[in-house]
Amino acid sequence: MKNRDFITVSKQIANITKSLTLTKSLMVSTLIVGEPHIGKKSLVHNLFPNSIYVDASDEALLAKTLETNSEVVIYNFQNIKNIDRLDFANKRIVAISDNLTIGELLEMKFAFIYTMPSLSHRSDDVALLVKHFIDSIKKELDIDGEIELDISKVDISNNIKSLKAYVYKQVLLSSLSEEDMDSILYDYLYEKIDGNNAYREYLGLYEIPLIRAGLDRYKSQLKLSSILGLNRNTLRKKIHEYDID
Amino acid sequence: MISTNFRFYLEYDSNPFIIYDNSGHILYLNKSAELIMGIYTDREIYEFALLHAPQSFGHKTTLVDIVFNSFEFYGINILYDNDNELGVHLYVRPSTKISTHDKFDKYAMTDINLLLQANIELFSINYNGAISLLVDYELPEFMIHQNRFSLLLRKVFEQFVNVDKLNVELVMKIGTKVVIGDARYPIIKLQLTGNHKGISHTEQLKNMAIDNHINILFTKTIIALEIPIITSKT
Repeated sequence: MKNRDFITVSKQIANITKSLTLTKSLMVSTLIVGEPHIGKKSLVHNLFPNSIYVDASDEALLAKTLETNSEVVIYNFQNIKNIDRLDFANKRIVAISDNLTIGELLEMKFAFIYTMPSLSHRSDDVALLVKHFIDSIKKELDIDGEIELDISKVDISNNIKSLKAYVYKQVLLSSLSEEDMDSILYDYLYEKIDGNNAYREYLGLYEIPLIRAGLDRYKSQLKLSSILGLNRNTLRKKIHEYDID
Repeated sequence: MISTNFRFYLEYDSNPFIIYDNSGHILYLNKSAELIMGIYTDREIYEFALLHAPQSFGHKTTLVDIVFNSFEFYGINILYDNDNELGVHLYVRPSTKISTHDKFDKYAMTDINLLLQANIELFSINYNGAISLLVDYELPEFMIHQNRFSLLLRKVFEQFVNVDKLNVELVMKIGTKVVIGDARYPIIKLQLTGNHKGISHTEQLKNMAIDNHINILFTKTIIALEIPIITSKT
């Protein structure tokens, strides 16, 4: 795992980073909890690049690692079943857990316990991350021109993982030319067309986005029917047929 | 009556003994009384003693729960022998817990300011009030069980999460020592003061403090830790 810049303007994460930096030379046990994919492991790796990293899912390996090392980073800590058996005495331990519930046992096992905020509580970070991902993909795919995304529509349901996927998808979509779309449709239809009603079956690929986009843009079926050059009743029938809201 | 040096026996009695003159000035105090003087003023103990004094010469023992911060007593005996002297004997309640850890096992030289600063950063994540800090950055490094002490600090700070303003003071306490085993150690005092009452879980904190060889003192708005300056494991 390479060190990488940790993109944040979050005050809470600045506090966590500072506190971890202050204690990284001490023999203390630290627990960092937070939702999956919010950057816990990246943050720790930047501060403890030379530690032994062990997956808590393998408890036998973890026990062996703790026997022979004084500085250990334990990730997937939520998978540990026998916490009380772990001996952290006189060791530098950083445990990373996706489980936000901290019981009495953990309270007394760890000297420092940090709860890292998820992206839903870091709106400023979301904007920064979106920009970072757009820049990355533009560079990777050699895309020119400005790309802007509506921050309020991004997918942060699975934090950085879903955000990254969303941005990549949106950037790719926005960079498609007519030829690209033609090519995508060609490949898709080439695989799919079959039976005896394929024209009707796949006409929706064109008509549904056309009507939805038109309704979003012009807000009125009357206006849209005129723009599309379609009879009003025909448009209404298609909206009903395709179950478009 | 035997002729012996009663003063010696009094001097090393584990119960504090103080003699005041008739204006409340101390004429004598034994070793145990020296320790509580570091926390309470002699005047406060004198005034407390007057409340429980016999009406005429003689002595009066009152069984009463007395808490002078970390020191707990189950009774007080006030002794009048003449008009010029007032004797005060406080009876120590035995501690229910002693540290089960080896004396200074796994203690390491530590900069206490570093641990304090790390805890303030941790505390600040969920605290929205103001923190004022008065610390002596010139304090020497000394031996601390880093993990156990950090855990205690976190728990102490958590007691103040709902106050509007928190004062943190870390200073060397001049003229007072704490006894651990046979040795006496100078003290660094870490005091956290909130602007309203919010302190609970005192039993848990007391036990954690004992595990660190630390005296912990409570008032309604203050938690103070008297941390021994240990410089060697022996």
